[in-house]
Amino acid sequence: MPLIETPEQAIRLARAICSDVSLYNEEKIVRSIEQDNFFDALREELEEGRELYRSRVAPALFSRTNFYDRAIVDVILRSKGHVKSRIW
Amino acid sequence: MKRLVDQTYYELLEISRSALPEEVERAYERAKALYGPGSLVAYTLLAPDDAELLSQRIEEARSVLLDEHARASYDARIPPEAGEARLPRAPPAAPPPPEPAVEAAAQGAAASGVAPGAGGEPAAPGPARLGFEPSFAPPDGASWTGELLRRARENRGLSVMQVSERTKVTRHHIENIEGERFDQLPAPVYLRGILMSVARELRLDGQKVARSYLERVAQAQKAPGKHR
Repeated sequence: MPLIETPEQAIRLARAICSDVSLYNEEKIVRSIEQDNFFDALREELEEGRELYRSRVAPALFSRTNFYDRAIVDVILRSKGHVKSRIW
Repeated sequence: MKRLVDQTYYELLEISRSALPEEVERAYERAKALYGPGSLVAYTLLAPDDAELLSQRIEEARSVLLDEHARASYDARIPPEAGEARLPRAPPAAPPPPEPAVEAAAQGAAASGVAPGAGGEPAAPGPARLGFEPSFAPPDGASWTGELLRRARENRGLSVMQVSERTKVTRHHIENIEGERFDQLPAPVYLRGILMSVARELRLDGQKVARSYLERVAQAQKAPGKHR
């Protein structure tokens, strides 16, 4: 499979992966936001997602952008804005 | 409180072990009305599969408890009630023949993908356990393999299709997980979620199962030519 070279496609992939992470780990995400340990609790899931993203995106594009990290915030965290937590 | 599938026929129908046939019949009608197809209780409290299993067990209970020989045989196999000696019951006039109702129920369960014993009777005296094991664990220190997951699923009396329907994970993924066809499994980021969903359905510790199984996947992928 050819590597993704365009930012638009990379952004789409990052958001799709994060959307799936969110879907598969709903309870864990909510709990970790409530307890303010989101990045610790989801470390393995987020890194596996990042690894998939890295494997599909051209190295140059991967190294000079942070689309995956932005997708974590935009897709996973922002959708949980209703969860009561001291992090907001 | 025992789960419905763990209850004896007497507990299921909420009658004493000395209940007369007419009491069994009344209790059966009441249970059927309460838990039968279309009832509000069954709809709101039970998953469709559980409701079907319960309905089947109610029918079995009636068949067995209204048949003198089958009931005597059944009574001999279930443990006495707590704090209560086994109730005396007149022995049947002839040696008890095989129980058609019970056998038919077992055959029906096998045909429907439910493991024999799920909803049936215990094979030997012991703790009250009429269904599957409440939990399933690998031997100490062993990792979760596809084979162990398959055994855990069968222990719960579930078919691959049933797990697939309940978890929304495709049948192929479940089969590939159990068959350890690592090269056909999705990326770890997805596989972890799938394993956790399946493990939850099998009442296992999702975190442990996912971590253990993913370690096996990683090891297999490091060993060239083994699974890929």
